[in-house]
Amino acid sequence: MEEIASELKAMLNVDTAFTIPVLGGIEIAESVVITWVVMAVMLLFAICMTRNLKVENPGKRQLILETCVTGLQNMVKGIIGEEGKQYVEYLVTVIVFIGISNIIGLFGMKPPTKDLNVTAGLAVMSIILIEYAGIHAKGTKKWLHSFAEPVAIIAPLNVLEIFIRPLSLCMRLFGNVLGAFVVMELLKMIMPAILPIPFSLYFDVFDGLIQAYVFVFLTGLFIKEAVE
Amino acid sequence: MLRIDINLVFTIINLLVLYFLMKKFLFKPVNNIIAKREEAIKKQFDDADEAKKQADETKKQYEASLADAKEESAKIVQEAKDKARVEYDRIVKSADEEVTKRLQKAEETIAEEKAKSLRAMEAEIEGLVVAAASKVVGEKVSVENSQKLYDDFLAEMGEK
Repeated sequence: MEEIASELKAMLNVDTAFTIPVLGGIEIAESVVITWVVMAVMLLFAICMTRNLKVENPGKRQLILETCVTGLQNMVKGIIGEEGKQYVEYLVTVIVFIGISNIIGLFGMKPPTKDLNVTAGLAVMSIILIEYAGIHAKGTKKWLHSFAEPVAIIAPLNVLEIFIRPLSLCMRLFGNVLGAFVVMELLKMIMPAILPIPFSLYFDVFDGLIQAYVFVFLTGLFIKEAVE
Repeated sequence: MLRIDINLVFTIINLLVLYFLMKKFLFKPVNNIIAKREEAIKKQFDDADEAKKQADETKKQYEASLADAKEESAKIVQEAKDKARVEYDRIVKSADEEVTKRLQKAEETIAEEKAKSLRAMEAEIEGLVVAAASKVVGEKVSVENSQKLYDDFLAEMGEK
């Protein structure tokens, strides 16, 4: 039992992949390195798929690409509305990034979203984008005024929301992925073959994609609220 | 287990880099091509509309010219008919005139002939009368006498 606990703890720990020997050593976490892998995969996919696109008679490859890209864009646009069109591309990037990050456990890598740094980074980006969208759409004065709506007395709560929203986004994603990771590691310890398959389908694939969708859905919703 | 450090900044940098890479290499080309296709489709529709409009116009023109041609042909036929009628009338009239003229001439000829034969007969009868009278009156009758007798006779006959 002790052994399992210590092993699990070792698995849960976010290792330092390497240290850059400047400024007293900058520790680069494993999750960041895996993020690079995900980025490389996405970039390669994008470059390979967008080679010689045609206006007329698109090939199968191009049709699949167009369906995927426009489908995701339309999905996000449906959440965010017409006013937030310029944020669609970022949100699509994020949903694909989180989706790949969450299911990368299938390929034997630790999901980067298991690291609080990554989910916190995503959440910080989200809240910056939300508030930026609010300021961009309404102007600074109106944006500040929107904290005192519908009545001035709830202004502290609205200000608090600036911190609560990213915190909930960050922790939801982190908790889900970490929990799924723990469950999967335990299952793999009990029985490495067959048994993890259905659980992996649920925890890695289903839950991973759902969490990616939820993250983007909530961010989109907040942006929509901010620009209205 | 939970650590929040400089890696958060790296994550944000990573995200921004990923966003710009995706924007440049995925969204821009794909959305570009879709926009281009939509434009091409719109252009094709416009072209089709234009072509249809032109075809309609051409059809209208064609129909108008067809109607014109029909009218023209009807006019030509009418003219030809009129001309033919005039010609016919003229020919018939001239034929009539000819006939009348000939008839007149024939009548004249006949009358002339008649007069001529009448004169011949008169001469004959005169001879006969003179012969008969001389036979009746005898040899003694002179030419003057016989002439007088003949005239009397003629007068008598004419009165009758």
